[in-house]
Amino acid sequence: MAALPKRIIKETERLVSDPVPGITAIPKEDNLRHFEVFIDGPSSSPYAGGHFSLELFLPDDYPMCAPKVRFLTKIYHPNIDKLGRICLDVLKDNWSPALQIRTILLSIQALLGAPNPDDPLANDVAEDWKKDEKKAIETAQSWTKQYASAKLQE
Amino acid sequence: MPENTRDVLNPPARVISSSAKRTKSTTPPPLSSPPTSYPSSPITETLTSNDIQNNSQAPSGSINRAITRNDSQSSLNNSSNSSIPVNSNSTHASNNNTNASNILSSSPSQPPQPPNVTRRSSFGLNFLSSFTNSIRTGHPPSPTENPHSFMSNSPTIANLSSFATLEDELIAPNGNSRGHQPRSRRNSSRQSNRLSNSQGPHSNGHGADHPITQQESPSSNNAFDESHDQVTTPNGIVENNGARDGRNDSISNGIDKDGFYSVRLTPLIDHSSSASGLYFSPVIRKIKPSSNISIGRYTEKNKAAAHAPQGSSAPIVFKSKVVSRTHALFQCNEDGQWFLRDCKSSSGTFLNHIRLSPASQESTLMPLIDGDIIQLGMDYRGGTEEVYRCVKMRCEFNKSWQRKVNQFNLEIHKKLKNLQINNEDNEDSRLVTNPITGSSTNVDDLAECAICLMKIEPCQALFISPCSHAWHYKCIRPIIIKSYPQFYCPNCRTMCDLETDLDEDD
Repeated sequence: MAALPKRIIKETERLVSDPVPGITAIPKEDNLRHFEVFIDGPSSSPYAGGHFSLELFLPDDYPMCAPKVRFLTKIYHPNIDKLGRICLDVLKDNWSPALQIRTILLSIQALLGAPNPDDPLANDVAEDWKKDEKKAIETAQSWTKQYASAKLQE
Repeated sequence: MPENTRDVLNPPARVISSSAKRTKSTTPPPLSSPPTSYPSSPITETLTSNDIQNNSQAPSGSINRAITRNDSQSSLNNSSNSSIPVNSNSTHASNNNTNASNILSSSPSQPPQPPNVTRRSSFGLNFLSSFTNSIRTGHPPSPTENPHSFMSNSPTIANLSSFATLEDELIAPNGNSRGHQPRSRRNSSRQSNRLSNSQGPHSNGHGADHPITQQESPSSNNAFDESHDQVTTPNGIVENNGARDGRNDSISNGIDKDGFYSVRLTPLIDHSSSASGLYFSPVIRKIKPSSNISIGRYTEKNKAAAHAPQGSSAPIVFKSKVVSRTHALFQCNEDGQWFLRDCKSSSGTFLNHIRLSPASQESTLMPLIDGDIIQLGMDYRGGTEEVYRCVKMRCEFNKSWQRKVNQFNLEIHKKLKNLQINNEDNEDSRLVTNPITGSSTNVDDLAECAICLMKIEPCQALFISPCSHAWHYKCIRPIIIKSYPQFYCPNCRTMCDLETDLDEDD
């Protein structure tokens, strides 16, 4: 494996030394471009109390292209499909090399707090969400409890 | 004016004018300015005849570098016997015209032939510093000093000549007339105009002083002779010698504080030509005076040299098969003058495109100046494969001081930082100075390149976008070239047009 760019080393160090509340990102030992990520659901959202596991991978041309991020924990969200893929502009066209791992993870956390059913990835969820938002939120809460409660992660 | 004085006066003048002639052929000769414009001239006849002589000589002395090199070689050889003491001027002076013309038509073996002595780097600042020294000490640099600068192939020639006139002007008021004759003979019309306008009437009067002051230069200015002095008495002390100060200063500038001389080799890259040489990262080597450093092919044995830190004294190695294992060597003498020798390389060493020696034959030591282009070997099999490419490089000698952080770039950097801070105040910093990066203070944040996250520091190549964000040029380049001339700022997402007219209005 090619030497790890200084930028990645620096970012990793800062994630450890100056962690974002509610977010942890730890590189895997076998591949330092591969991160194990946990994001706590925002308190004001249906995902509150959830402890979501994600994986993040930094491609070779990072930071010129976006990191690849995917939910591992099942989640009921209009912008996250059942494979855990995330529909988020900064992960796609709006990526900027000035963004970092921490900014991306914060964006994802924000996405949990503000689901956007008008730009859906999981169409069925988005439809439910539009039809009956209250019920959808309940489903999200129950999924969070079922799949993302902190105890399950142990 | 008595005829005697004239006689005494003339020989040196002629010697100088010979070098001035050389100068002329390197500088774009402005107009046909009459060397005979010499004021009050009972001797104009002799002068002109000499001038003709000069003219015939000039091209060979100046343009042909090979000859110059030979001269310097021979003067190296002669350095032992060449030192005519500075104060023996009077005898020399009284040797009258014939002697002078001998000097003119001289073979290189004649010791007091200053202009050829070293190929001197003519970096403008050096000249300036010698210039300021001359003002400070009240001694103008020796008249031959300037022609020396002109000798080189530097692009700053034009600057130099204008400095030269300036210098002459400044010297004159001191009543030190040393500058007069060389100036008038330097033959640029501008200068001779200046002479006739402002100095002409006086020059006779000053002429009486000439014999002594002027004699110094032709007789003493053997570079090696002189440079030895410089080593023993660096910088300030030597300045008292008047005739020597400028040169010495410029040379001693090159030595590092730790007493090393440095060479930096950068690959000669020409994107317009398909046949570029081997690419290598710039190499910096430093050696003690009077030592040398070998250039050769990378082998298992000298592996360490390939990874030697910049500024070490390790051999210089290249990963090209057209480079012999011991291909050439750099040598640096006591005075920081660098030389190049081909050490029986099989595919040749080229200095400014001229091969130094046939295959497997050792060349003589060739003096080098800053900016010389050296090529090791020739492309083999069309140079399509990297390992069969020749090595083309540009050399910088004794210029490490130029790359050091100094007051100037520190100040500029400070200003740049301020610019960014001010800018940040007004700006919607939604992206970069998000809560996240915003955790550090703005100032720190902006001292950092958003792409590599390393600090932005003096002496780094930067790119500053119209929105006043800055990155290392190396970091931002892929983004710039991807959509040039449109530039989408990764920090603030402003779309900038890099081809906007640079008109001053607005």
